[in-house]
Amino acid sequence: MTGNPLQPITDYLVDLQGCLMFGRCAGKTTRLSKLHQNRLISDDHRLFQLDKLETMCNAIIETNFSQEIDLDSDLLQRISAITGLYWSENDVDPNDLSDWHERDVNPLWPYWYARWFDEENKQFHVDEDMEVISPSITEEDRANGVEFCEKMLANGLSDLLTFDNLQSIEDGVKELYDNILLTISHKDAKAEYEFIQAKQNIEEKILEQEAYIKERRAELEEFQDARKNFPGHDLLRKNLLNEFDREEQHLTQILERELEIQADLVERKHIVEVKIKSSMLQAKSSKISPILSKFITFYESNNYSIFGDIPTFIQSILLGEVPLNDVIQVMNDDGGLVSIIGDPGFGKTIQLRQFTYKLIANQLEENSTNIIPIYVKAKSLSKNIQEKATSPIGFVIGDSENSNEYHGNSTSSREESVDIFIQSMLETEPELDGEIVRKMFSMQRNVFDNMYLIIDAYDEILSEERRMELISFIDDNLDRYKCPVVMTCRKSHKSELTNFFNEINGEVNTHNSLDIHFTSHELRFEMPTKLANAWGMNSDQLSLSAANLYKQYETVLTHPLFVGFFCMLLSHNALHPSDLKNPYLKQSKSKEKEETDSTVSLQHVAFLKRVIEFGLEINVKERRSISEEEIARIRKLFCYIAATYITTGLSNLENILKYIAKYHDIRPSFREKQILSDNLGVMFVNGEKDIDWTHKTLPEVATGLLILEDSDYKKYLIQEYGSIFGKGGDLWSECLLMTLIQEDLEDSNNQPFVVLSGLFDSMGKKPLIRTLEMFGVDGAHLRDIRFENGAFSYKITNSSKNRRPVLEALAESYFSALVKGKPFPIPNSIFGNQIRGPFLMHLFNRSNMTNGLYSDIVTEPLKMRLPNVEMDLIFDRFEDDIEKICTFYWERRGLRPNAKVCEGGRQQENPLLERLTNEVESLPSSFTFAFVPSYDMICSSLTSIRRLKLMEVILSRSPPMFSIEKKFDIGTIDNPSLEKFSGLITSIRRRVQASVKNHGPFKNFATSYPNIIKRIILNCLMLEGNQSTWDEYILGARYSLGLPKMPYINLKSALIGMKDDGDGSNGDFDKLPSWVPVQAYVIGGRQDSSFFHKTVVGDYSNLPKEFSKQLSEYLFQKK
Amino acid sequence: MPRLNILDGDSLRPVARAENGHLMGLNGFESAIRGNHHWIIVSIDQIDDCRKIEFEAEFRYAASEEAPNEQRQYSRVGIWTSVQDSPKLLSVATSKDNYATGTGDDYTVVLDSWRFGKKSEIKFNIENCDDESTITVALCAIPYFQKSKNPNPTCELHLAIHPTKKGSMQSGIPAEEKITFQLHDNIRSSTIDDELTLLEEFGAFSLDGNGNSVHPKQLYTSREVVKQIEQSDNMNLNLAYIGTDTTENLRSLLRSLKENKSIAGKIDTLYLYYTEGWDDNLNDKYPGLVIDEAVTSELFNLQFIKIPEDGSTPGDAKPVDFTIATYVTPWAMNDEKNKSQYSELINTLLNKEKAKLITVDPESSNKIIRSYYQGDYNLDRMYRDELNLKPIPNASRLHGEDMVVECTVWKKKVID
Repeated sequence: MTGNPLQPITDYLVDLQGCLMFGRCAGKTTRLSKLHQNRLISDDHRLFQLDKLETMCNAIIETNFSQEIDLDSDLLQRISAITGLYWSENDVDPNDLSDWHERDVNPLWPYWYARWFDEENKQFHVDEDMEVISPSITEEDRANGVEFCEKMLANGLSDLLTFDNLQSIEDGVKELYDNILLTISHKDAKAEYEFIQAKQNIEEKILEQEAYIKERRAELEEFQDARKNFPGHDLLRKNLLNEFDREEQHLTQILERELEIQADLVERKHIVEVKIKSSMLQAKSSKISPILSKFITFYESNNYSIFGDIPTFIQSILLGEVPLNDVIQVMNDDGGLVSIIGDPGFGKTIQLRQFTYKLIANQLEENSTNIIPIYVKAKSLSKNIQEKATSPIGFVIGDSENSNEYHGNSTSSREESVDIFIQSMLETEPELDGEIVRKMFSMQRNVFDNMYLIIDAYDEILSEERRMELISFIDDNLDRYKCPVVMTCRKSHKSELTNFFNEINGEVNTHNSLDIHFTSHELRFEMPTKLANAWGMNSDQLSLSAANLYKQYETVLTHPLFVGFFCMLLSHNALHPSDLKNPYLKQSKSKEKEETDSTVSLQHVAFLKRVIEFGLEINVKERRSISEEEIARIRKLFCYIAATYITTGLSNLENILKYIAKYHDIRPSFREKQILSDNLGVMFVNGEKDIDWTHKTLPEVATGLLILEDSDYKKYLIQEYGSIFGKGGDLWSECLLMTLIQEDLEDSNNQPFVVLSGLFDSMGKKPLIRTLEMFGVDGAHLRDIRFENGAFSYKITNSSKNRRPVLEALAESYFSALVKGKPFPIPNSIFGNQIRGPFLMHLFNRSNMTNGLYSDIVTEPLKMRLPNVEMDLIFDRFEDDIEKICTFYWERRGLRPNAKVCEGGRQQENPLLERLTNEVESLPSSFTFAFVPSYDMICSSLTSIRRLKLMEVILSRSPPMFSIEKKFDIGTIDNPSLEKFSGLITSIRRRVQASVKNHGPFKNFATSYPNIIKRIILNCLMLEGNQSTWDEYILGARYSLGLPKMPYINLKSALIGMKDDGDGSNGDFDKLPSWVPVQAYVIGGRQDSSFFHKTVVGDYSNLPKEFSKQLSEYLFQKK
Repeated sequence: MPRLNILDGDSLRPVARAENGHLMGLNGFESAIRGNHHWIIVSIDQIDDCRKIEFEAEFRYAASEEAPNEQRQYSRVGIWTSVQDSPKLLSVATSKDNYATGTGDDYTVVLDSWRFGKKSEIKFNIENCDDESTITVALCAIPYFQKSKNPNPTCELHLAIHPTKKGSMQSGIPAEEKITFQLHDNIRSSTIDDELTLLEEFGAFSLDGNGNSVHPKQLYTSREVVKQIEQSDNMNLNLAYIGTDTTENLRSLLRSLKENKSIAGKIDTLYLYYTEGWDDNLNDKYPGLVIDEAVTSELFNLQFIKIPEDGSTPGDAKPVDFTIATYVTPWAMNDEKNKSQYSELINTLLNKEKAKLITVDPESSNKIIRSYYQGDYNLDRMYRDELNLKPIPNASRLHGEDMVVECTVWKKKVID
């Protein structure tokens, strides 16, 4: 033990640095100082720098306006090139010839206001009323600023940000500064000389005066001495005595006058001295023109430099890069919070450990103990605050309507804080020597005054309340010790952290948020080399292999964590071997635009599988001693968690485990739960037990593995959702599919798509279509389909080499399932026009009727016809269910009014229609269909008399479509009004390509088909349920009746608004026939609300914008 | 104006294919050929009006998105020169250690500026040189050649000196040269004999004050050992040196200890753990350079302990205060036998309160020039994971980044 009182701090620093020297990457011991150092970036820093650059440039240019300085032309040119970019052509009015232009809006103003106006006194800018403008930068300000910055860079700033250019400017500005100082000192000397001369003159006069006074005083004293010797009582010489008195008085007066002159000279000397002093004091300010003064202040306050370290400055503008140390330096006096933000796998912890390691290294190198880093995990710190802090605290955050209460504990004494810190430090770094740590705290009272509080993983704290408690703890430390606090946080918790800190801290201290940033070049070329060296292994081959293979794995190598796994797998030769000829190595090209983000390659999937296999094991083994069986169980649990996460949408681990226990009867032990909650390297569980993944496609790959490995789970998916791709096939993704069929893809030459063939029948409609799209399978590919001897034969056409195996697998699976009587639907288009004759008959006979004929055979059953068979056979197939046959018929008609519904054409269809009409008519009058024909079906009936007849009888037995339908009687419509609908009927006929020849008086038509006409008229009048059918003809009919384009929100506004406006869109109340129901021009009719409560509110997505607005206004009024 | 002279041949250098270290491409075939290491002797003269000379040798190749297959970037070069074993203190304020040249001329080498790799650098501070003064350095380069149809691909090494004149802040116009390596069959490489001659010329094998260090690893080793002994409160210290190399490292350490009497006075015994034939080459060539007990007899005991060939731990091995292991990885990782033998030996030597292990290994694999390490180039994982050692960063002598070697001091977390 030495006598050095600072030795305990040095011992602590050395010990902590020893703990931080190594870490683990992808399961291997890693020397962290050799790993790649990711940069930190901040948009705010970038924009502050950009704003500062403008201020600096302006300050330099303005020096040219002073009389004393002529700016060097080269410097002026370089600076002007930069300042010119702060203006775009749009900012300046070409007609404005004045020298000075003011921008209406400057995207950098928020940053200008947020900088100190007075650096020395740390004061912000003030407004016209001298009120301080508080700095405030919103997300919108930030976004505008970044856009502005990017635009400047694109417009040429990036070309100007070269080392040479900036160095030339820096040199030029240094010269400018020296010139200004030289000029100032010259002026100062002249002024000072004049004052000094004046002072010297006065001093000479004072000296002369002193000598004169001395003489006068001597004269008076001599006279007074002489007088003393004169007899005082000589009355004879009384007059003489009087004369003596007068003389003495005279001499005294002379002396006094000279003394006054002397005093005046001294006063003048003093005044001159004050002037000299004042002139010396003011020399550097009052005598410099404000322009030069501004420049000098700026230059000097910026450490006699414009850019500082030029490469750093360039990076700060290009990216917003900022060294963490610089951020801390700026806040040094007051302390503050720096949050390091990054997604899982971005290397936040390593960043923090590297920073702390270097911080200590620099300290030790300088033999300094000024900074004492306290490195703790947030989770551990939070736990110890909860256990040891004794002073209760409570916060209410939010406004009066929406607020949250938070409770927790705060420290009540320094001892508590010390205890919390020591415990947390030792838990965070178990290798840290407890004795050394305790000795430091016990021997050094100033640990807190010198500490940097470094906290890892804010988001891993157990609950929101505990996180709030931690922020309160941080705030206490900021308040008491003004220390810098550096904390890592996942992006998902960034806004919460910012809000909590601002609420508790009251924005007293600075909070800088920095994002971790790296480039694909670094991921590809730099990280692997450095990682190999950090592992202590030869980097050459690993570096080369990583660089070569990177492109194949690009979609998944998105962050350092996976590059680490990638290198680990490479070093163990455990990466998937790549056959460069395999067509699936390239990323698939999905047809749907929204899926472009999720395009994956075979290597992507193979890599993630390996990550799950190796990564999980490595991470678990790193923390605990664990058996192979336990590892296998953890892996299975992990896959179940991933599968449940994506199939149910649950994201909370606790809930997922409950679900798994109930539906899969798998219950993890307490230890397994703990392991799953730890950082598994592939899945992160945060405080609220919400799950986060290191790659968004990881759960898909894990689900694929589970489907492949666990037949029970596959059965469960099919039973529960009807598809291995979940409800509605929504889980389908290229990644999941490629995981499932990886074996096929890797070995596509030998055993083409055996796995895929086995999956088709359990996919479901949508996933099957998307799977075929993924392989580029569209159009007609199957022909010559025959059913012979209990099996199908077929030919595959129009297929490329890559598509053929997929088609073969599909056909094999499809026809086999069809024969077994368990068909699954595939796209109609695959068959082209081959669904006819015996094959159609076969499908007609084999199809399951449950969801409608053909729905289990093809994906678009409405495009399928009835086979040309005996009528009775058709009725038999439908079990004589007239409604089902009608529905089958009209669904196809409504969809395609002119396409054949019967393979046998009109010859087959006409008898069918007649028979159906008769059958419906013969039904008891009380019989009502459940089937409600749509407007399109009704319109399609206008294509033939038989169809009209059938539709009319169906409508007479179908339930009403409109709320007022029962009360509405077309018999009340006057003839002129009725005639106004004839144009609409003609337009419908044209649309469905029916004959438009003269059908006689419209009244007769209406009389023949009253139910059809009633529906058509109501459809025109009422908005209810059929908004999308309103076309120009319907609107024409409405205008002709005096109805507005859209109903009004209430009767009052309808009566005011329905005035003839020329085009009829407002309606005309005077023209309106009285038979027209009020609901046709007022939403909800006279009693508005009932309308909404019953119908429309459910779906008004198709409403025109104008009407939506009216509707929402109406709803708002009702509310 | 200083001149850069290549002393041992012209600028085109034929190089043969190395025995190992070639790089494999995606298809499993060779994609880059590693050339044999090649020595180049360079002198810098007319240095008398300079106050500083920076010398660099660089392979200017880099892989990028545009040229992902640029594999000549794996080429590397190191600089060997002769410097005295102990630092020459120029002033109290000097933070970097300056080492006087071994030739006796009045210039120094700044240790922390000495770098190996794709770019190798060294900085000389010139004091009172006359017009006869010359700096001599030996470069050892490992060129990599891109595999192509050309049977004789090339790889270029750029040499440059950046002189700074006395009284000037900026460096003057650099003098540059270029060496082109060309792959050829049937080229004879330098032998260990040639290398020993070169090292001997540099004074690397002396055991007294006239000897010199030639590689930064020697200086870092000596510096750390001296510092650790200096910091120790104990006397009668026992040291163990595990020597498996060409002995120049041990020799420079012995010279340093002998020069520093106060340090040597704290040592009781230095145990030399050696392997069979470790100094055969040297003894064959220079029989007079044998190390024996007499070398340090006046100062401390020197005891030789042979590491058995059967993989067992030497019977005489016992815990010591400081164990020094410099560049032992190739031997320790050669096979499982060596690995477990070394692990056991370290475990035994460190089994003592306050016992420390001083390891010196290449900082990264591109700092390895004369040898080839296929796998690991340090034993960090063994020390951390198997031997349960904890590093003790050296509080007073941290060196910068990207150095030629990494010197780490370790202690046992738990003593048996």
